[in-house]
Amino acid sequence: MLSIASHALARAGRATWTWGLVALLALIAAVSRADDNPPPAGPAAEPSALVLPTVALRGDGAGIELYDALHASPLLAHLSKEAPGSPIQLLVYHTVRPAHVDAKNVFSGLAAVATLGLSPVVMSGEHSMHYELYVNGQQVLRREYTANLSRKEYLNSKAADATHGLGPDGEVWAKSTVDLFLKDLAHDPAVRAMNEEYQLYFGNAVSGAAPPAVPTQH
Amino acid sequence: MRKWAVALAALWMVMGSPPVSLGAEGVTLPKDLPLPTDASVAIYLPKHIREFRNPFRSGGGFQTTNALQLGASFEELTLGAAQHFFKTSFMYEPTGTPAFGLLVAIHPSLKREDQQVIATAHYQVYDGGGASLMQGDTLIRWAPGSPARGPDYLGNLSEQAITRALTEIVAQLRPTASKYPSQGEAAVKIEKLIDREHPAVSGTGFFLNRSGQILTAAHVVHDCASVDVHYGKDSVAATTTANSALLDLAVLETHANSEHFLRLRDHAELAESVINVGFPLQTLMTDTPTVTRGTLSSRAGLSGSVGQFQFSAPIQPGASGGPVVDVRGNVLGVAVGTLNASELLKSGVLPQNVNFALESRYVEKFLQQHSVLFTEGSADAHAPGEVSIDEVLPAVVSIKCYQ
Repeated sequence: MLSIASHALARAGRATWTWGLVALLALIAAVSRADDNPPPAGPAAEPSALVLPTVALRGDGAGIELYDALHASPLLAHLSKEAPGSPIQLLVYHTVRPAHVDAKNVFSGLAAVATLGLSPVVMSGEHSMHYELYVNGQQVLRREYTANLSRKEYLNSKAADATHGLGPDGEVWAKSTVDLFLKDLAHDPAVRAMNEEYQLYFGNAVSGAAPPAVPTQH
Repeated sequence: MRKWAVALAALWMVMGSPPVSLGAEGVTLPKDLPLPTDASVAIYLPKHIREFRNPFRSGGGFQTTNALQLGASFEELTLGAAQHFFKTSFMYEPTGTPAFGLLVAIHPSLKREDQQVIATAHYQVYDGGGASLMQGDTLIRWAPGSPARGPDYLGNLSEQAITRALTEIVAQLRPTASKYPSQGEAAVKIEKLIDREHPAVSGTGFFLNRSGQILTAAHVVHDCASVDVHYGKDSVAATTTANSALLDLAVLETHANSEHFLRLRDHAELAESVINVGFPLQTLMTDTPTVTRGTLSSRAGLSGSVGQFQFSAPIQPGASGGPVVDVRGNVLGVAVGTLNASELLKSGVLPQNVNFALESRYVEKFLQQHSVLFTEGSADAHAPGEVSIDEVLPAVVSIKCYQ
C-alpha cells in the first residue's frame, strides 16, 4: 500500500497537469481541525542548543497536525499557532503531485464509477510535506520531503477525511518528516544567522499574547 | 450528487489534460521551418512573477503543488510553451545563464475589464550579442461563458498569450542556430529587460542625512533589478547598502544632495499625536505625498511581534517605509504594516486604523550597526517647537522597484 522514498528536494521540478485528478482530490479534501492540546513530552531529536524565538506556525490541516511534534523540540519551544505578528513564520503544508495516469488508476476509477462507489478508487501520487521558514516574508529555509503514496478512496464515503488526504500510512510518514526537518533547521547557517540577529536586536524577548489577527505588509 | 461529481472527475482524470495548441490567430508559422528549431532561447520573466504564490489558506485541506506555487508553475508553463518552438530553452538569470542565440523578455499581466479577463504579454527579443531584434504585445480575452480549460483558466490565458508571442517571434525571425548562434558571454544586461513602465513594488522612504542615504522598508526593495527614488521633481537611481529582513529595514544610497532629512526620536509616548507621510496607491494617485494624522494607540503590535507600536493614522498600500513623526517632525517609527481588513472581514470583524511601525530605537540600533549617519531629535515629547508639515515633506521620498 505504501511505498516511501523520502528525500529532501531543493525545488519542485515537474509539472503534471491532470485536471481530473486535481478535481477529484479537491472534492475529497477534508476540512482541517486545529488542535490546541499541549505538546506531548516526546523527544524530537536535533543535536543543538539552538532555541529559536517566537515562531508563528501556519499551514494546512496536515501541517497544523504536526504542531505537537514540532513544539516538542527545544528548538521550536516557542512555536505558536497564535502569534500572527511574529516576524518569523513557519509554513507547513502538504501537496500532491498527481502520478501519471496508469492502468491501475484508470481501472479503479472506471470500476468505482461502474459500481457507484462500492469499489474504491486507487489514487497514487508524489506526496510532499513542505517546510518553509520566512522572516517578514523573505524565505530563509525551504525543505520538501516527498514520498510516493497510494491509497484507496471510496466515492460514496461521507465522512470528513481526518488524515487531510494523507491516509493512515501517509499520516505516519508525514510525522516522520518532522525529525528530518528539525535536523535541517538546526544545522542551517542562515537560520543560525537569523537567530543571532534576533538576539542582537531583541535579546531573549518572547512576545506576549494578544487577540489573533492577520497582518499584511503595506 | 457528490459521488456523481467525483465519478465525473474520475472520468476526466482518465481523459487527461488538453494539449497545448501551437500557432495563433492571424499569425502563420513558416511551413518550411522545422519546429522545434535548433536555435537556443533564454527567457526572462520578472522575479515577482516567478516567485508568486497563491495566498495560503490555513486549514483549507491539501492542494496540488502547482495550485500553491503559481510562480514556479508559470515558469514551467512558459518553458513548456517554448519547447514547442525551440529545442533548447531555459530561464534567464542575471548571473550564470548559459549561452543563448535569442533572449526573449516577457512581461505578462492579467487584468479585469468589463467582466472580461485580459491576459497580455509584452515581449522584447535580443540576439546573443545584445542587438534588439523585435518587440510586441499579445492579448487574449476571456469572457464569462467562454469555455475555460480546467480550474486554472488564468494560467491558461497567460499560456496562450505567451504561445502567441512565441509564434510571432518564430514567424518573423525564422530562428535557426546558424542564423542566431549561441554566444557565451551574454551581452544583454538585465537593465534592458526590466519593465520601466510598471513598477513591481512601490513604497516610501525618507532621507537620513545630507549624504543622500534613505531609509525604507526592506520588503519594498527586495529582489529589485533596479530601484528609483523620486523626490520633489528629481529622480535618482538607488542601491541597497544595508538590509535587515528581520527588522524590515533597508538603507538606500543615492548620492543625492539632500538638504532636508529627518531626525529620529526613540521615546514615543502613548496617545501622543503622530503624522504619517507616504506615497500610497502609486498606480492610482499622483506622485505627491499623502499626510494622515492619528495617535500612538498602543506600545505593542500584534501578538508575536517585537519592537513595534500601533498607531491610528490611516495608511494604504505603498506607505511602507514611510516615517511616523511627532508634531516636531521627529521620526518615532517606520511604517511596516497594517491589519489585513479583508481577511478579518470574513470573520465579521472590521478593523479601523490599526497600523504598525517599527520603533525608532531599533532603527537607530540598525543604523549604528551599519555605520549609517543619522541625527537624534529631542527625546522630550512635550518640548516646544511644533513644525509645519512643509518641513517634513521634502525629506520624504517615493521609491519604485522594477523587475
